[in-house]
Amino acid sequence: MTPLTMLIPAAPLAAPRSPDLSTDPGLGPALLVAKDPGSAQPVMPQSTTTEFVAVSNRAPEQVSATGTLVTAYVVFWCLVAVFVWRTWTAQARLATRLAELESELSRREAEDAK
Amino acid sequence: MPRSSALAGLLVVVTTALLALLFFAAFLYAPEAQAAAGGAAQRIFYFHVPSAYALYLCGTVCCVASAAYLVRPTPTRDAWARAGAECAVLFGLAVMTSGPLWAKKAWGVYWTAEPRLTTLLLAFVIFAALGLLRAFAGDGEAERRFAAAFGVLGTVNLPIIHLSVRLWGGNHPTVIGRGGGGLAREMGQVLGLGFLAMTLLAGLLLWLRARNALLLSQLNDAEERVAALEAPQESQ
Repeated sequence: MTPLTMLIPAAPLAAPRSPDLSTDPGLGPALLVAKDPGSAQPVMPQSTTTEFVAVSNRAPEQVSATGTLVTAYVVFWCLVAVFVWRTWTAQARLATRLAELESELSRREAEDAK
Repeated sequence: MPRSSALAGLLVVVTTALLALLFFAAFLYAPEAQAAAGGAAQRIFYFHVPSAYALYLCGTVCCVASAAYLVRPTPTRDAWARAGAECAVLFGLAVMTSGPLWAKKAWGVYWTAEPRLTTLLLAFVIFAALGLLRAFAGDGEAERRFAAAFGVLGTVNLPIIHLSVRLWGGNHPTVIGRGGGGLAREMGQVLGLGFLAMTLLAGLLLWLRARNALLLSQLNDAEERVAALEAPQESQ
């Protein structure tokens, strides 16, 4: 590793992007290596925090990949199910109301014809 | 049984079977991706990307039907334009809930002001606004024409979403297409299945919503006819 090569952590995504980012075959932001020595500037997280408070016994934050995956699939299936159910019930309601109005119109037109 | 209902029944069966197959293929057949891509969470990809494609598809239907309505207004064209916008909202919501969950694992954050995410959010807001307009602003000729113009103009954003990574870079992976590193063969097969399943799902939902919109249009016509019959009796 040359002195000008650096590792950019995943979190500060709001930071200026590397020119290699758009062609990265994987999910580049997780670990990027700046290859252009001229552009190797330290990337600082942009934050509006004005003070730091000490915490103790803070467990490292972890996201379960399986939990994330299952949540995403459940949300997707729920969205589709709710959409289909709402469409189905609305269609049944509209069809019933339309049939009522059509019969009402037929009745009135028959009365007018007499 | 009418021919359209039989076709719809067949479409429901095939779509459900393909979605179930996609579910199992994504979990059991596709290999796990590298940790930097999210590991197991990368399997979200198999319906995240097809959902984005379905959003484009529904947006295109909305645009074409809206343009056709502006040229020659018919209830059918209006119904398909409305259905396109409503289904685009659904698929937009699917993309925007699955994407951040995957991003949290792969990028460490749920959301970032990245070109593709921002333009996608804009498209979602446009179609949601269109849906709300149709739901709450009445169903008169002026509202329909305004919604049609909005539908055509709003769809301009869709190609921008697609090209945003190429134009402005960003954090989104570019695995497929120019500059991409490609996919494992099994991953490509599952993704293909995802595209097929989502195309059928989008077609089915579009058809259902268009049928709803047509029924609503017929109902409004019938109510107007009843009101017209009642008006002379009240004036007497």
